[in-house]
Amino acid sequence: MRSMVVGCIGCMFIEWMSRAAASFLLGKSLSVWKNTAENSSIDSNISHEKAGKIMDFHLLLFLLGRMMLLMGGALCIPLGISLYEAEPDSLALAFALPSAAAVLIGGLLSLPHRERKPRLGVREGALFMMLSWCLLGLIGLLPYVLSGQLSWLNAMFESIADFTTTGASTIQADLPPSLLLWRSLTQWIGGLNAMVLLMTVIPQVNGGFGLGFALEHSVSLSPMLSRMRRTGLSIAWLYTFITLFFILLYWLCGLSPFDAINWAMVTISTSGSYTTSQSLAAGSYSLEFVSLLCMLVACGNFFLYWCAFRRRDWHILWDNAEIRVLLGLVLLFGLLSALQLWRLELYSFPDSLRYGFFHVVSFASTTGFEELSLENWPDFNKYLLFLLGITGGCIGSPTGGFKLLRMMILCKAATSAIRQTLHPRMISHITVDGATVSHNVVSNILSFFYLYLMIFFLFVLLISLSGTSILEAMGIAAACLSGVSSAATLYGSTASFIYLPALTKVFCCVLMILGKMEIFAFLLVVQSGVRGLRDRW
Amino acid sequence: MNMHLVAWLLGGLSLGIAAFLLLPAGLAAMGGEPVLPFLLAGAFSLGLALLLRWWGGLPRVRLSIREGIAVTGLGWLLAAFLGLLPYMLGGWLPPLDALFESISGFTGTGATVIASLEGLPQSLLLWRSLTHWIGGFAIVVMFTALLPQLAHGSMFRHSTEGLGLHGSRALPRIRTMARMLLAVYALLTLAAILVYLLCGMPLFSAVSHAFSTISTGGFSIYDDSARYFDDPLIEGAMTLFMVLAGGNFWLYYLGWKKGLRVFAENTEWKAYLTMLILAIVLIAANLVHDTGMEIPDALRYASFQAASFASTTGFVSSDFDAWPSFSRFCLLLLMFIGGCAGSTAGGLRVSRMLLLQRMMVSILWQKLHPQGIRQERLNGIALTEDALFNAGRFFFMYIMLMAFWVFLLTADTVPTLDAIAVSVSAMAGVGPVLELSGSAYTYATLPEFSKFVVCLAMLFGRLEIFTLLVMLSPEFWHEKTGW
Repeated sequence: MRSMVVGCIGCMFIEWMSRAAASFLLGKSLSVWKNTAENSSIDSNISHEKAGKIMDFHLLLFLLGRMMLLMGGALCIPLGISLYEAEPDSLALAFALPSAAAVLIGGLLSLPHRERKPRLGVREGALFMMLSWCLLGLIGLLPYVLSGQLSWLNAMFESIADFTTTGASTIQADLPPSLLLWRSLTQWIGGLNAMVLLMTVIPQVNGGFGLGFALEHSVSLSPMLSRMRRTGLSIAWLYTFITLFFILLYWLCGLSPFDAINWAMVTISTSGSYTTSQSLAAGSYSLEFVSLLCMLVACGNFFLYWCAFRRRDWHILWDNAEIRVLLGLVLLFGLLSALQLWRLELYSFPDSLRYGFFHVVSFASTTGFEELSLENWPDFNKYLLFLLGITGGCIGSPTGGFKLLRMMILCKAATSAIRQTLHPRMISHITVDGATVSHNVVSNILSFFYLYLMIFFLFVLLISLSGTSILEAMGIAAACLSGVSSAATLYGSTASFIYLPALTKVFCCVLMILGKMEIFAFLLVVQSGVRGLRDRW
Repeated sequence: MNMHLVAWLLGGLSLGIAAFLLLPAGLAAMGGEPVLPFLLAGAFSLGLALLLRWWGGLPRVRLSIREGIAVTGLGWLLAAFLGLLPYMLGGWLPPLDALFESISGFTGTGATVIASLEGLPQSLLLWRSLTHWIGGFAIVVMFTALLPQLAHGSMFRHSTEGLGLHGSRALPRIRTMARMLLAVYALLTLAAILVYLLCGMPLFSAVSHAFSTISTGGFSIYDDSARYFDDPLIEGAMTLFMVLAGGNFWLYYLGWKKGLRVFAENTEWKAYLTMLILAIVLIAANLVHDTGMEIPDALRYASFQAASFASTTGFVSSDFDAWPSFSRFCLLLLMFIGGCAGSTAGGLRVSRMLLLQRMMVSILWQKLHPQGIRQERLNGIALTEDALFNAGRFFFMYIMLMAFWVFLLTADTVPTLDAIAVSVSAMAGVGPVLELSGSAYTYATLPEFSKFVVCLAMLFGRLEIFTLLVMLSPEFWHEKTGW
């Protein structure tokens, strides 16, 4: 009964949180700029800012301040649980103190900056992305440290891994409920933050890469504050709605409400780390099936769901090429995986199908649930999972990775290259869903692909310095870069990140943030920083 | 497509191979080894050549892009087929292994399926090295004489970008260029033979190794490869020639003509050397730190191995498989990047990496200056947007193809790391890989299907992917007639 109550309270909190989040983060007071913003309809990819202009920190600090305030609010949830469950005072204090600090700093940051521009520039956007992840990570680590559960470094790793929805964990002992909830909550907020950033800052900094045309411009993607607020709200609403739905499903499958809430938050954010001791294998078939379904939903395009929901037209989903490719890929890889498992006589045929598909979906959505130890699986299956993990889900989802849509566009570019070899003067267009992808976007994606791999190689090198084998290093790097923690255990890494040397953990943290920032933004920040220094000296 | 023209050119190729087969035949006759396999193979090649020449004809038309592709693609396949005859006719290898060995030879890979070279006749060993040398020769011709004619605005463009051939203006120079490059190739080989002799190699060994070095192949006549000598002097000489073989041959010609200044002005050459030195320092530091090797030893092994992998030659001077994973991954990356454009080396090429880096910088710049126009340059030559775009596309296809080979290999129960290393190595034309039966690196233990996959990978890597990929599309063979 008690857990029931806890569950209900939790649900309400989540609902309230998300609404509060969006409206608070982007501020009602900003509607003043709404009109001017909409009049100057600026294309998401084009910034009319003059080059070399001094960075404007006001809006940046304001947004960061709001984010801190929000985190202060979020910290109250585990605090409430902690008080309700009558956990030791030190634990309650571990939430209360950071919460107070966050509110204080947030207030300080956001108050004095009343004068601000209505939109973020490219550099500010990039910086905002970086700082927001760092800041989230900083606040997130405090409860672990203050409650004495983890050392500073481990807590930082844990917190960043959770916020970036990687889900890599250094925790070995069982956590008290309040900390458990905090962990799932950070993952959930991380997923939400990723999507809000995707709509607001990323299109300008990295290029939306097709978010726009996938939706036929029904969602405005721009760093305009007023639009940020509107789209942010609707996405937060949808995100919460789906979470609630997941909670219901899990609950119907027989999980306790508290577990259901945590599982749902962990699933939808595609983070996938709940407790170490508890695994799905203990669960029933129905639970397995439901989590498979939930993961599949989580790797689809949320903006598309929103469109479909608003127009009450579910054909939109099927008409979307990316979703079809996702389903096809899952089907193909699932079958291949199952066949190989069956051929090598690891499991019976139904079990092969079951395990094959479950893990394929788990990796494609970069969730990384594992039903059983994958260490003894054939190399072929591991490789398939590895590929899926690196590729990730659809664009516009909280999944990490390179994203399917980009992969599709690149594959089309490759086929057009073959035709162009025969007909050198041919001009070919690449289309997705009937919309033409401009040459610019394709070369953007190409260089992103290059960057992605180079960063991957660089970090494999750095991680391999710690004495892991090459495959382990590749697994860890892939895990951090695309946020699928189980990729690290694929190649027999010692099951947990806890054994990595301190320096490697720092590398992993950097890589996780890089992966979420989509690298370009990081380079922009570095470039601006270097430039700023050069101008100053 | 004019098949007669293609047949005529292929006939020429087959004639050339028949002539080259006389060399090992002569050696066999002198050393009292079986001559018949070589003579039979030679006779067969000759017959085929006559047949093709009789059927084909050289009309006075320019080579179209289809014919160019058909000649390169089919030419390599034909050479591989003719090359496998001696191995098979002599009964030394089964058909698939012979095909593997032959393809590995002509593509300049140097991956071998022969578990032990002891007991094989010298003439056959010479033939192995000779296939390397012919393959390297053909690559130089392909990249300088054939592709630039077809390259205008096409996907092959980036293959020739590093040579400084741009557009139709350069066309009249191509014939001279090809001749000069072949002269450089031959001179380098002669120099290598001489230096190896001076360093104390026996004549036969010096010739074979020179062939393998300059074509960046990597077949050795010893099971132990360069470890057999265990002599810093010889290793130094081999390192030098491997580094040279990985550089742009056209640059050497220019250097000889215009003075050494051109080396200092060439971005790719500088990048290539920087990459090598950086890798050597990193690997040596890693070796000293992790395995407690003495510094001179570490430098010696690191430099040889780095040069061998960056130039995609694939000689082995130490058991690099026992090295720490950092060093091994460095080696893997070197293989992946490969040598300069305009050399016999494979891999992605340094120039393409530079193009990709330029592309990235350009896009980053564009984000900050949306209205600006930026001109990227490489080696002082302005790059078109297409060149950058094509380089990016090629990079993507290269990676995808590699991932696909790994997919096939792991499906055939090859362990993952082996599969990755094998596909990187085969695509770049290196030869040795990680782990797979140690650094003795024979592919003999691979399952049959995997050997076939590796053959494909070697061909795709050598022919810059598109040649074969285009030939696989039905559109290539059935020209659309319109109405």
